[in-house]
Amino acid sequence: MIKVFVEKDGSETKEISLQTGTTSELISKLGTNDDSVLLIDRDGTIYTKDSKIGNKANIKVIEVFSGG
Amino acid sequence: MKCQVCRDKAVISSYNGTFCAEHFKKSFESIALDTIKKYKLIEPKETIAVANSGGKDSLSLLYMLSKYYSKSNNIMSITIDEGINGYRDKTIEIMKEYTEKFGVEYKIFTYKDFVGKGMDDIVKVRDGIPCAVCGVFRRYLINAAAIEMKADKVATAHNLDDEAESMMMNLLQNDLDKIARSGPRSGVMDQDGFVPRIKPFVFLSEKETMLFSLLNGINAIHTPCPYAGFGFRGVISKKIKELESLSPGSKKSLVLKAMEIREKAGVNGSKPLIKCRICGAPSSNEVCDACRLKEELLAV
Repeated sequence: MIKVFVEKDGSETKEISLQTGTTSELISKLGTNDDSVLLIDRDGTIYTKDSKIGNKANIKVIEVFSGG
Repeated sequence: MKCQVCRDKAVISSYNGTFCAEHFKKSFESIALDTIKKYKLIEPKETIAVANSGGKDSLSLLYMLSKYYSKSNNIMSITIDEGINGYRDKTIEIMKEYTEKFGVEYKIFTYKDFVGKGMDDIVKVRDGIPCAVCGVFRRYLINAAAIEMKADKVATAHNLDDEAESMMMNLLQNDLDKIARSGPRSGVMDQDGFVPRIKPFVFLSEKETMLFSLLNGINAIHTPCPYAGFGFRGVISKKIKELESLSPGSKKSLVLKAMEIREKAGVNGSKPLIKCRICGAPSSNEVCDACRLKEELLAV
């Protein structure tokens, strides 16, 4: 079991447990899909949809939205 | 995942390919430049006004056009201030910072000057979806601003998601006229009083545009408009992204189909335009939507 710390839209950091430790599992647990988010580690790593996430990784979830 | 070009660590995997940061930036620029060339969006010496909100999409477009076209063309920036406190005022500050950095002239046009009210005031006095009013005023003012600045074309940062959403919405609303006005060269071309609009990012997704802005150090605010979630478009936007995740290429298929319909319907769509009785701008009705809404709001 892998634990990751996730910050979404500037809200409080949440701890999420993952069985496989992949971004696709994290995206599914967040109730979203790959086309709707960018996942960026605090160390600057940008994750693709099938990346492995290290234990205790700190991940920022940036929602993809239209316009500005 | 590995970059399909150099086998370095990938930062994105989408319908357009799997790339590391450097090759993604090259691929992104290449797709936008190919779109400009293929559809003849920019001709030498033309004045191009970039509709610039100060958000990630339009700043990325301004960055690209000033990088590749500032020698052959006059690139300028127009911003519409809708009067959304805590949102647009912040993006305008960012817009000013980057237009100055890119060496581009800018001008700001406001709803307040046009109709006497900003969006924060309008939502208090008018029921319904804010985007329905905002979209009409924004399109109208962008065109008026482009005429005032003597621009040959307006470049907007509409992306693949925006276009696919429009196609889906117009299909569901059975609006063939609007479908026939979509694509990289949108709206009605060759019409007095209407500055043609071009969309160099039409084959690049929202996610790709956001990543491109991040990788180029464009520190836009990554927060959507506070009124954005109210519209039908918000619902369609979520569904389109779900579809793309399940079946990559869905968005591009929708956009290509819209362009095929446009081609078959004729470049100018099926409905001829007349002049608005009040402002003289091209309109499909006796009074254009902007003047109709303006009259309605001035009466409140």
